Amino acid sequence: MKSKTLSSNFTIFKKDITRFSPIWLLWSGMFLLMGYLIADTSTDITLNHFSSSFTVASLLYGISCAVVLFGYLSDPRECVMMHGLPIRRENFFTAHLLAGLVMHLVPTALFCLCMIPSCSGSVLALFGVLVMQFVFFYGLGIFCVMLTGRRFAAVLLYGLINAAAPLLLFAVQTLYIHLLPGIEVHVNSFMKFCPLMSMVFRDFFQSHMWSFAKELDAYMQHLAVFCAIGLGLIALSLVLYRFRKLECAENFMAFPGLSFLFVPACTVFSGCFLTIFSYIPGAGSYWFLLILGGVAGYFASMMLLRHSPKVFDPKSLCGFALIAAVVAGSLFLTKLDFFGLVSSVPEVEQVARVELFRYELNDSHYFTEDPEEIAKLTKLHQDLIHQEPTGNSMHVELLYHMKDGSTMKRVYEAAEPLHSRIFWYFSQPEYQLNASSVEQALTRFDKSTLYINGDPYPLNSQEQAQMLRALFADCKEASLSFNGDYGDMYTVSYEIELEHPQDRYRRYSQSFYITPKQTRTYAWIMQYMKDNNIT
Amino acid sequence: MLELKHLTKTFGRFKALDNLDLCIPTGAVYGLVGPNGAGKSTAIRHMTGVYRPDAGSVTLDGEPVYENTSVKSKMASITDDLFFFNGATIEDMRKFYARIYPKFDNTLFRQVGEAFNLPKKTPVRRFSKGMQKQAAFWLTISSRPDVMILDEPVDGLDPVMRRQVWSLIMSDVAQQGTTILVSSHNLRELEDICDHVGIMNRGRMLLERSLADMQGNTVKVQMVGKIPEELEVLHRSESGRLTTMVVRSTMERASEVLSAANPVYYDILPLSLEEIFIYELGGVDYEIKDIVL
Repeated sequence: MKSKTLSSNFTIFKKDITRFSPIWLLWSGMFLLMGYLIADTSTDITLNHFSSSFTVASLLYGISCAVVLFGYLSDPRECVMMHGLPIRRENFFTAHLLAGLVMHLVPTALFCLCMIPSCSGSVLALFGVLVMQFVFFYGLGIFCVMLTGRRFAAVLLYGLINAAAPLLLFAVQTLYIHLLPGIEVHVNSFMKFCPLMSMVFRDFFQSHMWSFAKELDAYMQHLAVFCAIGLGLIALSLVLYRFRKLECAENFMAFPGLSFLFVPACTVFSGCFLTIFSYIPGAGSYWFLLILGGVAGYFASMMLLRHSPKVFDPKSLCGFALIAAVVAGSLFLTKLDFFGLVSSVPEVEQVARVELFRYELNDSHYFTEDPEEIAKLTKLHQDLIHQEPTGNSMHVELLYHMKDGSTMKRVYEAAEPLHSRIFWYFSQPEYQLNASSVEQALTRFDKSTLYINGDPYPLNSQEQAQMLRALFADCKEASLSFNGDYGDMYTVSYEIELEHPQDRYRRYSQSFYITPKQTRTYAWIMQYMKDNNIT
Repeated sequence: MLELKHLTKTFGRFKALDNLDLCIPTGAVYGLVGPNGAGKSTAIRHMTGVYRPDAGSVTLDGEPVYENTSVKSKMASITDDLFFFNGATIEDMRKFYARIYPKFDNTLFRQVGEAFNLPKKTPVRRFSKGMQKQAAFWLTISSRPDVMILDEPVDGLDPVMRRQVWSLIMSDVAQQGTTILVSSHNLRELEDICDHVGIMNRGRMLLERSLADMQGNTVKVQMVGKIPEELEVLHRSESGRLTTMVVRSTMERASEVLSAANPVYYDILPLSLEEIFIYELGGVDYEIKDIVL
């Protein structure tokens, strides 16, 4: 006997495919256009050009499918009609879920098949990437629909969740970081939780693409995690659907408890957002805009929840006061350095190595493992904490590698009285040559060139060794100023260029302008010129 | 038998159903009446398995209705607010319903279609309100349900079509023994077709009885003279010496009491359903105000 359950599922599934055909036709059209542009030999367009677009398209398509397929839960009439039918909620869910997957899989599979001539073998990887991206975004979209009672609310929640990491980063940087001198937020730590940013910037479609490179494998693993999260959200959505009260259709939130998260989030984010304009003259002070934005965000979110402009009542005002009190309290505790983050300086015995960075374009830095030098740096750190700000500041970073394996990073704008002490470190060979010994310098730089009045003289290994010893000694005496001090540039006749490989494809070069101040290096250059009869 | 026992449903702080008890015998035509906001539509949505009750149960022949596909496949309903798929014609809806309801009767669908004569190629959403109601009824009756739940089924229909619909309903009851629940404000029409009536107010069942019992237990008395104390008067009005009363009593008992009282004049008249509705609710603070413009 034909199963009525299967028959009902197929009926709903088929209805979805036909009813929402414009959606998957649009998705197919996108692939058609891409395929045409790639196939058109008159353009230089390759699949590589669309790597970011795929992720954005998956993000948009995921929520679109979720909203159209499950959006009946937001329409009271359709909700009553559908749930009056002899079909269980699980069957509805399964049918709609499968319809969404098919609406993605079929056009995507066809596109990948068409890409076989263009991609030398890794069509399967392309298909896998597209499917895994979609599963995550689709699962998240369904989850948002289950939590809300209106299509607009689902889309808004979807956007907020996708942007949660950057929004949180923005709120932390706006509200707290300026109260925590020295503390820097790791942007990457936040951004890896932003699905779009995390997937878009993994540009695996390299020009040498479609070989199973390590980068592609790592990216696939990364996507697999997101895919698993998407599947988890789908399972959770089914549970929510079972418990959902259908009378919540047209309510902003399907589960009233969520308003306790939504309202404070809107209050804080809108307050932070408005502080951006504090830099505009006449816009208002930072705190004024923060409070104004918070008020606007709070009452706007209340209006959305209540579906009414009548939100200005004593209960609502108490709610705002509570949120404001919590935020103010957290700011106050942060200002007081309640957790000792700002004033924290590690003990010398706990530190294995310290690195000191300056804001430069190169990647060199001063580092030391010597306990005495570490002690000097911790003293410098304490002075940086207690310094009085001045107009002329120098951006410095301290990175401690602790003996227990942890790290601690602090970032400061050093005031002028501390500049000379910091300059001393950046005269040292650890910074100038990124080497703590001559031997280390010799292994780091594989090519050296001496320029005399603009004419290049490549140095052999023996000459390079002699030159580096002299340079090293000048650094130790702090007579070699930091890179970028070009005060004597137009009177300098001698330049040393050191090169080393940075990675597989790039090389790095470093230049030093030598004057009589750099006594040992200058003496070596004079001897070199004499030995080589250069005038 | 479709039964609601101690059904309670709250929306936020508002109690829509408060310990509601309702029983529709198999094969009965049950009229569910009540003032606006009594909870009729909410009760109907529980019967069709849309809402989950906060307390109580909804059963059909002893089996729960909620999320029970075998029970729900025996039920079909017309809601007060209709929905049809965007762009779907009546034929598209027929195909959809035919795949969902196991006993969908295509022959009956064609027969009823001849009576209604609705456009076949126009999307149902573009029909007028009355035509949409016809379409809904057409699909519902063709589903051959054992239980039909009709919320304002003839609302918006012209008099001819109303008669047509009632006729189809009664024919279905007679031939198939279908159990019908009708919710309507047109008590005059309900009086002609219902054999059971339930009067709801504020989420509770005020009165639930067979129509014959209800009409038999409440009568209108017109008299001139002293009103006997034995009569339970629900409502009383006077015009000169003539007193008109609505009395909770059987006709025989009222006649007996009035004969014994020997007034100057008396007459006992049956009450219509509409009058019973008004006077029963009047007894529970549902004020009927005379509006003078």
